Amino acid sequence: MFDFTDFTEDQIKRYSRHIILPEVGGKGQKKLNNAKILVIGAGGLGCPAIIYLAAAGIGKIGVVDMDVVDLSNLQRQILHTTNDINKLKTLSVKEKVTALNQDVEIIQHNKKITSENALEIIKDYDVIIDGSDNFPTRYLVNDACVFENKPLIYGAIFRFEGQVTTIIPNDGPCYRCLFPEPPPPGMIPSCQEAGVLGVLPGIIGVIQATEAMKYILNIGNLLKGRMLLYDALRMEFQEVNVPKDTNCPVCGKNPTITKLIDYEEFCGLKKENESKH
Amino acid sequence: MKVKVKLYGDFLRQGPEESIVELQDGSTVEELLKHFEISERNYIIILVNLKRSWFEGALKDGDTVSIFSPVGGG
Repeated sequence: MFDFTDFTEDQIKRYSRHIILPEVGGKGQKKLNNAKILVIGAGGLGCPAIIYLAAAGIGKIGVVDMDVVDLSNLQRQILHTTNDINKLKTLSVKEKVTALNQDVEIIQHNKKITSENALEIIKDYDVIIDGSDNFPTRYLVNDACVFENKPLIYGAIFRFEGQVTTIIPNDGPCYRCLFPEPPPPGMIPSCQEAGVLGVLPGIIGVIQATEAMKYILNIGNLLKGRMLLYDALRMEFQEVNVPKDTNCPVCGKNPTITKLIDYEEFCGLKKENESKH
Repeated sequence: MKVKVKLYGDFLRQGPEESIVELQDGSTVEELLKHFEISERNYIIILVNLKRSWFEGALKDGDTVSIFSPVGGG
């Protein structure tokens, strides 16, 4: 029987709708309260993921973002307001989360995640949520999570489409099993160049938060080995089975990538820098 | 044989959102991609009847083929 003396009266009330779920209960809520989740990017995907994780009482949420809030973000990055323009995104997030739930500690990582710092940043967290907005970061985070054996909830959006999958290193495929190398710079336009429907990252970011919570609670079936494809125009979800690739360059039997790589994009030219793993 | 083809994302440049394509019996996914003049072979996900398929995968009458590309925005 779970010992409810671990909770305050307010906490029992705040989390009561979780606690009455048999799949969560007091024990599960305590796991959420003790969990440490890292969210990379406080943008379209990060904002909805963070606010639901904060509402759920995740004990520590790390947020990686070096940007300040821009007026063009506000159409979809729902934690930031007009008053936050030019404020650090991580600070804007911290203010909103603190107002919602003081059980949650926000760790601000006001920096770009690179091959130099990625392993250091992710090492203290239980689950990593990738809400970044570019392929170089996505590959870096995938590889870092494989090296550090961290579960990674991958989500990405573009125009009216979203893609989401859960990567459990050593127990399923990684992102490179599906796409071994990043697309050449310029081949796939960014949201900045091609637009994105404002509500789309809300749907995908909330699915990412759901997966992270399920992982912490050890309930249900994760999107492991499956990628969910969402099309807002058709209002369709489709699912792709993603098998683990034994020849995967990072998680296969004979990996060729053993160090983190910074894939940089400068005016359509790619520059690769390797640094020590 | 006839297959239903659904294009997503950037592949919408190569054809309509949804179409019925007539192919010779025994055709493969590769032949279907050629029909749409899709040259991309790395950054592409192909589903046949909602199951992942590869370029050499054989198609049959009545199949539904969905063609996606990776997305990276956040």
